[in-house]
Amino acid sequence: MSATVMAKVRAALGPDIASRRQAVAQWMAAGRASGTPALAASVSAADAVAIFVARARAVKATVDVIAAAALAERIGTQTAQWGRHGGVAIADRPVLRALREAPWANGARIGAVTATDAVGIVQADGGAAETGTLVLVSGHGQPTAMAFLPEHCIAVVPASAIRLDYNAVIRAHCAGRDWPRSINLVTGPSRTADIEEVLLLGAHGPRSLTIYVLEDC
Amino acid sequence: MSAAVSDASFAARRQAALGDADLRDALGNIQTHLVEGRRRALADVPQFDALRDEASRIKTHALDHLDIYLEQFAAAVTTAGGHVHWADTGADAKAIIQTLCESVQARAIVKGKSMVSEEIELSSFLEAQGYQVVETDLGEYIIQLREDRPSHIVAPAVHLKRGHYADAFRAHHTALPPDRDIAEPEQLLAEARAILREKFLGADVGITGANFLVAETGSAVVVTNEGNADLAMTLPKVHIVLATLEKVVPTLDDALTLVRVLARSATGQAISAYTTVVSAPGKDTAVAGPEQFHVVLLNNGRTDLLQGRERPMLKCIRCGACMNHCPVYGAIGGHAYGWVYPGPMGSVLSPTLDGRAAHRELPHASTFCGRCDSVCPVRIPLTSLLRGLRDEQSATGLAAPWPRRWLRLWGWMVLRPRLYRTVVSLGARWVRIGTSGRLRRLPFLRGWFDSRDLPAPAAQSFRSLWAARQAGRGTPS
Repeated sequence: MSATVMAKVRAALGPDIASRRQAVAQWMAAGRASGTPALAASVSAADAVAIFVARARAVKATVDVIAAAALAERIGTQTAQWGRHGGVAIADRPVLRALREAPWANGARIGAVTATDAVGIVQADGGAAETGTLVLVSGHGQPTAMAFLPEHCIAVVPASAIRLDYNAVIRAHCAGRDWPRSINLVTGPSRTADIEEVLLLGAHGPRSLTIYVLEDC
Repeated sequence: MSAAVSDASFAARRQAALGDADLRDALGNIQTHLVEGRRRALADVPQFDALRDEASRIKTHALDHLDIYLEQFAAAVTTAGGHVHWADTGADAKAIIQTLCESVQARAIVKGKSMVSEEIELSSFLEAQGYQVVETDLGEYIIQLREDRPSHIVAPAVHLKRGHYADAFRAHHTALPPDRDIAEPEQLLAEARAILREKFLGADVGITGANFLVAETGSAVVVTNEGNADLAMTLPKVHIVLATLEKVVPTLDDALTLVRVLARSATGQAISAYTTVVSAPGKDTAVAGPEQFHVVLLNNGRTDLLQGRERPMLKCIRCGACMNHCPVYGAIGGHAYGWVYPGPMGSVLSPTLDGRAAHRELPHASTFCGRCDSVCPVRIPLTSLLRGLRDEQSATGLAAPWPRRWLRLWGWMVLRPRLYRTVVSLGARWVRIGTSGRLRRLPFLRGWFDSRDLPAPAAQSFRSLWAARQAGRGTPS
């Protein structure tokens, strides 16, 4: 079947495969010069965190910039409320280790998630200021479903991992290592406008997204 | 001709649509939300035109070198432990997917939204094979329950109102109390979420489409707002991506450039809530996720477009901006177009993919106002492509006979200016008889005059007025 389809593609494009190969090699070598992160051209990297916070709020995420030491207490207040409706799942990631010592985390699921969990606490590998987008790279200790199954998603992102554009964040986390199963760009809580174009939050993914930007991390 | 094409003629379908009050409300929503939304989103991005140029350049380059990029993509998927299946026709793709489902003794399948799966009628095929297939995008889900068809490529249920949802939910969710209150959209969503959550958890296979395929990394890029595709590709043990050949782009950076124009053009969001770059698990075995990753690469007529004048149509990233901004779509909605792709892009795709004769009228379903050309994020010259299809119809004799005869007569006359002027001036005099400045009726144009009139032609043509004026001035000194 591959032969049939490829033969049809080649018949449509013409016989000069060698020059096409060369053009492709050139395109690939030009690399990201071809991907224009045009949106952020006018702002400096120093503005990235402020822009990220403003744009994430614009898509109905709750965003706070806090010190790493305050994280456990802040999340504890939220989970005290939401955790009554189901379990709490915490990703097994370095920035979240300190949470496990907190009294509220007693009984929390670590590094795994099930359908009965009401809260998923994940670490974002980075953030892209251009649209207030979190970047989550799948890998050890943080299954993809953790950011999708529970009703409430709490994402923790170090301020130092926030860049202007998607491309820079993905490069920082995926270049030079085994390519991950999934890279999730998450922009606000899940939503739908399928019923009469009325915007509703909490479609199949989380109903709420809380982002803690760690200013000293 | 596909089974999805309604038996009624385009004229009958369009007439029915014009009389549908619910549809008019729904089409108004497109103006308020999608057209307005796009306008606001673009106001934030002064460089949007440069971004569109770049997006167009990427897609053109990818199509011009499609064989090489398909090779690279397939190699990258295989290296990471995934499987690529080539399908020349819709029937081939369905057979491949059926075999994959059989190989894992699957019973339940969850689907993300995919227009390609609509195109090949995948869900009804799998259901006929005995599988339980559930569409998980809310709009697609209600369409499935109602045995309806999408009327828009981004907002498939835009023609339905909340009452339609409530009726379908009561008819199908029979385990729930019949007197429950589901009048409000929030209640409908909560019910759908709970029902579909169970389907996700019980599914053996997840099938999604792809907005883009990345040759460099062997990944699919899948965009949703609901997060349904992410659950469909994460929870079941097998993930199948169904995508057509033209979705492949060179690099992830290129795909991200296209992501930047996609949602802004589609819904007016800067980016959709979820954009996922998904690949075969490779060595990423620590992740709880599917064990198998399959990509079905479907041709289904794309190579015919690649070969011909319509190659630019394959640049389409399915944002729907052309239909949102089309005065014809805005009046008749999506169903009247008769196949899965409506609006200007559909008027090019339906004849070229599903049969030129079956969709003979669609290239004429355009005023050539050019709004589609002006909003397309990858700069597809839609009106030129439609004009090309009209020319081709005229050359091959596919065009409707009467308009063709009139046009031929008219063409013959304009090449004989004196005759043309005489006939036009006699004709103008004749239609003016008994009118008071407005024409209310003409033979052969009854449809037009049902709801409109026309200004009567002037008593004297511009040409004769001009000649008289020049004569009166005499020779300049």
